[in-house]
Amino acid sequence: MRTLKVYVLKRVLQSIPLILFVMAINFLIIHAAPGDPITYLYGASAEVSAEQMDRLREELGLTRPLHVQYVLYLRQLLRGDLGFSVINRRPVLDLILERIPPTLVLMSSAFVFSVIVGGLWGVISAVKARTQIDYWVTIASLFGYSMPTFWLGLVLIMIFSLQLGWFPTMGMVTLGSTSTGWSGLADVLRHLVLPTITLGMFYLAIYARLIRASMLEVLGQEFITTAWSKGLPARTVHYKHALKNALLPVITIAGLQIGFMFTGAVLTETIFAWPGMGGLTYQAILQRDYALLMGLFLLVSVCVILTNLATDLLYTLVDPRIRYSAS
Amino acid sequence: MWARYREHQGGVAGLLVVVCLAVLALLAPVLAPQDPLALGDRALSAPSAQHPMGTDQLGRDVLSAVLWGLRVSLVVGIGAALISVVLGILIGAPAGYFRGRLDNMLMRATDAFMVLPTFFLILLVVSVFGASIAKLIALIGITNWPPIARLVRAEFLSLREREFTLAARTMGAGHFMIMFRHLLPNALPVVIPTLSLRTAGAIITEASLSFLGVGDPNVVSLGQMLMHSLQFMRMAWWTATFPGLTIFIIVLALNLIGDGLNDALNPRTRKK
Repeated sequence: MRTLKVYVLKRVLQSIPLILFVMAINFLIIHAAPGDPITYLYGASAEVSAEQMDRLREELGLTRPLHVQYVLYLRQLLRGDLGFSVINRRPVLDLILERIPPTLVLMSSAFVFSVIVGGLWGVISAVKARTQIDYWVTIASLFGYSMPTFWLGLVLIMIFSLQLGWFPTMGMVTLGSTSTGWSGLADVLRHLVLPTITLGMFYLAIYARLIRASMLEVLGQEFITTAWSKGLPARTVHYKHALKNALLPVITIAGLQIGFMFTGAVLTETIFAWPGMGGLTYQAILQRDYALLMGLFLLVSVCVILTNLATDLLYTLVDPRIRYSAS
Repeated sequence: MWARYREHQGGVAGLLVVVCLAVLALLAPVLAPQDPLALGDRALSAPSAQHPMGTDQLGRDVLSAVLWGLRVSLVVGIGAALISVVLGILIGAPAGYFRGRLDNMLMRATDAFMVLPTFFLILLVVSVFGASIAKLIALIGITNWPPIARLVRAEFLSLREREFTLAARTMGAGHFMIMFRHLLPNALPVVIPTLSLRTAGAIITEASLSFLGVGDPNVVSLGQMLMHSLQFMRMAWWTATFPGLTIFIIVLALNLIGDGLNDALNPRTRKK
């Protein structure tokens, strides 16, 4: 048990330099940008007077050496100050925080969809290996991960919204709708279907492939032969014995993928006008709101690092075979 | 090797498609019926004999734009993939070969890069500094080497223990010579398939960036065409369909080639 604690602590500490690294990248981009950072971050708007800009320069210590500025920048970040969006006239952190829930809804929905459907495809494919079913599932997953997210979104809108009229084309709730409770939830769910498929398809395909490969490997192992020879029914062997073990390697990949899902979320939210962080990113690009863009990059990076950390820790708990070396 | 590759139907089909598309892209200046940027008088007209893929909101010929856009996609994809692979080798090879502290350092850096949300990083850099084809190639290439470096390192770790490495060393070959003359050619079978897969990935990244409006504004790009089509989907399905289909086909074909190469070059890991 002690080694586990040490391992967890060590792994947590390892994330800190990573976060500092991301902050350094952000800092360097601000400073490598043409012109001085203040003109760059705030100059685009006439809202900020020359006096205010001088004061900001003073505050950020722009006249001091670079490493001192970095420390000042870190101190500012640690206070939870991600900068100020002049264009939106609000602190960057506030802008981002209010956009997190819709993104979480979309990403979790896409994650669950891709894991369940992808897992199912993978299992069927492995159990029926080298049959027609396996062949078609393999082709379907190849299509799934070759399909650019944004184009899939467009195609789904064209077919299911514009042609068939089954689902709305944009937003998270019907405009002007005041329904709450169950009907409100139903409204959100209806809006969620197409974005979920759009964002989840790529991961679905990846999980299907992974689980297929992983299942095939497990199915060849001796304990499976034992299970068969005990006369257990196929269902028990496949799902209770094989799948349980085949899921282990998938956890690591899933953790990494959640990080990359932010990319897909930006594209999906842009297409469906989903009111989350992705939509905010697109808005920041259009408005050339650099302070906001940097805040987003920073926050997303930290989320990714923390998700990876959580995955690693989860993995050690799930798989008792892993030896955590405390050295 | 070709004999084994030929057995992989998908790989052969993918290769055929990519060669055809590459020829089309190369010949774009000759084949494109019109200047892709020339404004026409008939905006959003449906596909016809004159405009096989229709026209966009400014009356530009979609087929011509798709051909030119394909060119940009392929150039960015291949360029970025080459950079990633070269960087991956330069970082992975010494890490696996020398092991020890150098390996430790290089792999720490690799892990750090691996968790970076690279797409956001490119997005940020491009919107601050502006985009050009060369910048996109460099950025996509530079941000995608880590998985390749890991692959190369793993390969070098096992190759350095083999007899031919010892033989080369006893004959007085230097580290550089051993790494690049003796080990690298043996590591290529795992590297080559990633070249194809990385090209596919880079093409999607470039298209995604131009879809969000941060691509090179001076060239025709498939992603950019899709971005504009978003507003006209209701009346002009063709503006959204053809550029997207083109990206999908090329990415699919490249993925098939990657799978085929993997099967042909690494028969041991081949799916039974």
